[in-house]
Amino acid sequence: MRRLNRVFLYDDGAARALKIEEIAKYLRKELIKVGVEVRGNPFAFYLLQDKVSDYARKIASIKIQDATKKWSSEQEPLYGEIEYEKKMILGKTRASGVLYDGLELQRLFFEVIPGRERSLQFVHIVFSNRLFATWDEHERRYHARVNLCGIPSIISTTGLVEAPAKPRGYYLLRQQYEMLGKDLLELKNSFKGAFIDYEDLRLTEVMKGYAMQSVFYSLVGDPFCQDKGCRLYNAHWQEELIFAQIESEYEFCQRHMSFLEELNEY
Amino acid sequence: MSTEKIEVKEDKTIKELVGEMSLSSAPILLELDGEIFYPDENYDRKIQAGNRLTVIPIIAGG
Amino acid sequence: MNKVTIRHPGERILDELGIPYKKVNQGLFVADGPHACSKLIASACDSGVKFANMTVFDDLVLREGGRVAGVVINWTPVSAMPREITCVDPVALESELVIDATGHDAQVVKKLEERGFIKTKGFGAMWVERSEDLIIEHTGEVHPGLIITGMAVATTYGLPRMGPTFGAMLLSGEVGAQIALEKLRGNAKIK
Repeated sequence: MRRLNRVFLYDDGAARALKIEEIAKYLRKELIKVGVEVRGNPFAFYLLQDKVSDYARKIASIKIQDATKKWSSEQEPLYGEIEYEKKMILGKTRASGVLYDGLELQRLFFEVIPGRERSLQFVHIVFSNRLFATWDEHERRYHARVNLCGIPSIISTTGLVEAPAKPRGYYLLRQQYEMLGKDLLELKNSFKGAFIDYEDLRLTEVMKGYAMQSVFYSLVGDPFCQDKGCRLYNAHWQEELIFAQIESEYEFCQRHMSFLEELNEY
Repeated sequence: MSTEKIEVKEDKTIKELVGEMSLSSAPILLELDGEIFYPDENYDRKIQAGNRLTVIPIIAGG
Repeated sequence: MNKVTIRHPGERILDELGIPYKKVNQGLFVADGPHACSKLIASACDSGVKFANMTVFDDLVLREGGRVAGVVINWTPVSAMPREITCVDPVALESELVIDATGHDAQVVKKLEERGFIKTKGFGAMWVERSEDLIIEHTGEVHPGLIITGMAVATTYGLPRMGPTFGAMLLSGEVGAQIALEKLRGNAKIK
């Protein structure tokens, strides 16, 4: 088990319903001897003003247009796309809906973190509303993700809504609604509570678990657990996610509780 | 895949190392002497026999 | 298909133009299509817009560096005439700015693409919750002299569609107009 020095939390335009300070408070309670610091916008924290355009261009160039085509470094972004990313970097908009290559996005955040802080002893967690996906070589397509553990770890509030599958009945009904031109809000209301939605009041509680996945990634090299009741369970369905993060009778399984107890005894 | 520590047996480049380990297209970071970096940005970097590297896989969830 | 739906905050524009509407759900409103469209056209006319009815967009007027400086139009019936007698010269209209509000077709942007100045991405799949905000945020100048609004924005940048709802179209138009005003003021054409 690795020693952890500090946890840093960043806000890259995450959903307004997300209370990062509450997550920080939770982490301080779980990781008694590890400092937790809230740093706000990662670009505002590290990036010099004259680099904003450069990073806006880099982020605009990692957009995924077609989920069945792997991103290529030859993609040239349009002026309007770069301007949009500038607004995102400067915190002037939180309008999300663009899909990015997750590994490239993580690499851009990595570049921004100073070298002295790039270590697994520091847990960098960026909460973002950017939707990102990773390329699956076997299926030859992108898959949207909730989180990507690395340096930094990125957790997407949009990914939390879109990546884990909703109940099967929802998709069947949605197809009918789309064919009939009916409003999807009505559909969502009939499945209310069955999945985490945008600006969901349960968002912060759920994200505590994903933050701990990033912590365990640094701590033991594996962010996940097979136990469906453990906060570290890697949910692929909304139902599983809600159970692991909210409904389960326990927060962590015995094994991961032991790790935490050992960490807090250091 | 989880974090793996390796000891380099002979002098080589980063490119040769990841090739031998079949990690050329795997999403990983490498750690050497406290420095963490992307292997594909350091392909020409030379490492020596006895160097201890840590292979850090990047892991996606959801 | 006599009704149009508008999501919040698009109803502000309906209020400004005096277009009657009803609330269907929290954040969702409906208006009569003909009534809404006629009020929109009337308010545009009242503001000084001149409509060139029965015309088709034919081509762009380009200046140094590929700057868009106007459009070339022709009379629609010309295309219905026998080809042998369609030698009717088009008309070039020069302007400081061109605004492409041609919807999914993004005709003006596509013409620019034909000439190799830009590459459009083609609009994405439907994503009702996210698309409207993205359209508004991407509205603006895509090429010197060319502002894009509405669904032309989606086609240009490969943004998702939102289905049959129109709030973002109104708001995007407003943003496009504000950007046009700023540019014209910057060029000292309007005080």
